[in-house]
Amino acid sequence: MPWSMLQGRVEALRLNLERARDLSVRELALDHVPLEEGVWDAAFDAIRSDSVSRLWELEQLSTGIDRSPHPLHQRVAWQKLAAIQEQSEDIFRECLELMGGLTFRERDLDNQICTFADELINECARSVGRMLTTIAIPAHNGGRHAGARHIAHVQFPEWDVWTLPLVTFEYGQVAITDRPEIDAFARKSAIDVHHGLGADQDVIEERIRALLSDAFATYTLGPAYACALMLLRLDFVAPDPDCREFVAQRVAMVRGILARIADGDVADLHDKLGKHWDQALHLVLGTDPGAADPLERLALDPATVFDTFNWFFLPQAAYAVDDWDTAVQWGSRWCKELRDPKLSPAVPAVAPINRLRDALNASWYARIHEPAWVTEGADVTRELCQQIIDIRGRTRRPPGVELPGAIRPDP
Amino acid sequence: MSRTISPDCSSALLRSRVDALIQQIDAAQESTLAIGAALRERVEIRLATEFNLHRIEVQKLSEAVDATAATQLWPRLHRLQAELDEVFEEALALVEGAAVRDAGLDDGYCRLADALLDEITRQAPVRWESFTVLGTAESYTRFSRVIRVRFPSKSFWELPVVAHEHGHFVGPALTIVQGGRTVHPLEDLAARAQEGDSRHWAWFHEIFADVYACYVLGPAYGLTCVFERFDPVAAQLDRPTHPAANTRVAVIDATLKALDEHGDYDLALAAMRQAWQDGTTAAGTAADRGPEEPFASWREQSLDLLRAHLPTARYDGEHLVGTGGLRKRLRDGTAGADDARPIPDLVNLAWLARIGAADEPARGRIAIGARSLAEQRVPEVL
Repeated sequence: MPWSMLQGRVEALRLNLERARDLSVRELALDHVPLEEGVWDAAFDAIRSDSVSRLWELEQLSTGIDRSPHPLHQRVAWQKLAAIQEQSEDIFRECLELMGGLTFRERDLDNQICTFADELINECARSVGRMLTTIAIPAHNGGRHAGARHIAHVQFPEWDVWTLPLVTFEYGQVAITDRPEIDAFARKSAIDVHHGLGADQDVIEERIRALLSDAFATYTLGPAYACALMLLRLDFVAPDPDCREFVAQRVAMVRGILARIADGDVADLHDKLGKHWDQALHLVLGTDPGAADPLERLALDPATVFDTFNWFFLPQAAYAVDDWDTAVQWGSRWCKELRDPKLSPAVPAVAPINRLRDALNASWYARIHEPAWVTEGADVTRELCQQIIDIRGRTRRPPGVELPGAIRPDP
Repeated sequence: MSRTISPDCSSALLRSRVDALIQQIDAAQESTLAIGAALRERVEIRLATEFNLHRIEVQKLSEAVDATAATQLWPRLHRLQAELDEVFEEALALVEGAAVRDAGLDDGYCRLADALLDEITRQAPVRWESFTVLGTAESYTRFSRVIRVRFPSKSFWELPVVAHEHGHFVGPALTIVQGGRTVHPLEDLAARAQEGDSRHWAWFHEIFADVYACYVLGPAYGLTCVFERFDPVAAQLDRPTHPAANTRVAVIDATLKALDEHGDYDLALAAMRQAWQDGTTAAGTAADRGPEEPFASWREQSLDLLRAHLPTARYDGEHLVGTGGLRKRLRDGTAGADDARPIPDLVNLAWLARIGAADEPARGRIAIGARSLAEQRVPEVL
């Protein structure tokens, strides 16, 4: 009886792992989610390979239990099974997250915001020279293993365009890991800080990678990311001082990158955004925002991060003055139309060169300058995003054709 | 919804957050409309009330933004945001879970679990009014009353675990009127239990849920825990939320023994004890004593409470008497439509048949046959 109880557990776990290994896009029957095979494979590769590894371990265990000339001691066998079971839980969790998220999208319960998120990530990935992107799924308070698994999360129930820029943060984790030089930069920074602070190196590295992802999202998306993050997401009232410090570090990084992007109107918006933040912080916490440099402890200088990105990413990745000109042009027009009772805000003419980031920055520009833009602006921006996607769809290069340009040589 | 950030307003940031929160409440509520009618009926009144209460609070906050100092309003927003985080998480679980069920990705397992719980609560004075969804582990959430069943397992053998999760709903829902006031007797007992050790509140609830599962489902629950779930390697390990498996097995054993007035559970109890004893001896974690204090008292208190409040919900062991023929047919794979009976009986009969099964193929036949019979009950119940 006890031996068969152990074997029964082994068998049950084997069946569960096989199901995770064999989960296919066909089983999910996705007709409406535009899922490229490569993206599906990337998202499920890790699940498949982890499942296969655990199945192999389980097979070894099974052999050790009843097919070996020197059977495993039962205590050892139970311990091995417990270890495999524990590792398998992560696989099942990811599987369920993907299944649930994709089914949610398939039924269009997200008002198509994940489709926009896919496109935003797609254009971001192309701008850094990557062909394989990430699939966005709805989740609440994020998910696990997002970057490494090529999965990005859209916060439920934020189905409007205002928080859409935040999805770039998750792609940033993929982009940073994919560029060996920037990955090394993250690791080295973590080691340096670890020596200085003596804190847990994994925790420090996780934090540094998050800050680099913030930097990446601001670098590629421009002010729209900073606005969404600072005005709608970051919680500076969190009771935990460590959380508050991390929030301050994120804001410092985003503002630092924004300050480097360009002069002129970007600087104007940067000042306004900073003023809102600093005032609120001062009111609620009585903190003087200029008292200390929150990044000092992490030895991360936004200017150095900006220069590193400039060196290792393709030129078209960076958000630039020309992009901001488009945002200001569209945004100003919307503001004017809003102020004139005879006019109603319209979708501007779109060229193949336009990207979703242009629409999001224009919209945030209008929102910052014109109080009546929130609801109507969300609808017009959504329409504009759809037009950009439609035009891009008509002009997209065939699969397999490489992007022009090459990565800059190592310094 | 037309207000937004004004560069000259010091509360602009607060205003943008409050407006966003109102939009999110609307979007979350709208998304629940996607739940199919039959399942939505089970949750919609409670969800609508929850959304409405929070919407009123956020609207009050919105009205206060221009009149009250932001210093006082930020903490209020923080609290509301934290509460709504839970509401949104559960709403997503229900909408996503319903979609996964509807797409058949659970192979009908959740419907079966719902049917089992509906059969159990038919005899109880409290109505569950929710539905099961897939999760990474079995769990129960108070707000939505949603019970998660573990993915990717869809084994018939593990079905009884949902009765334990259901106990987490039923216990706190029990009420009595004392001196004109409504009292929650289980919460009072739990509050007393935690005096001296903060873990005892959670542990008391786990013990109650174990006792409840035995009470409404009989020995199938204990057999599932021992054969399928509890880990002999960690049998002595107390966790912050759960007492050690050895303790729980002792409680389950004592509960089933107390409920078994005519010896109907003898076979099941013997198999359960033998398996756990062998498993823990092999793992070096065996314990040969019954439940110690305070667990023995908690078990008695829980059982007394159930006997007083749910007299008709108790599983009747006599249903297992004279079922040798059906057990054999389940082992042989020859059980037919005429063998259908309530799902609590089927899970017990399947387990008794499994105890006497010679090999793995026979166990497979039993699981398939019993599930097929249980599925015949689903349309009747749902």
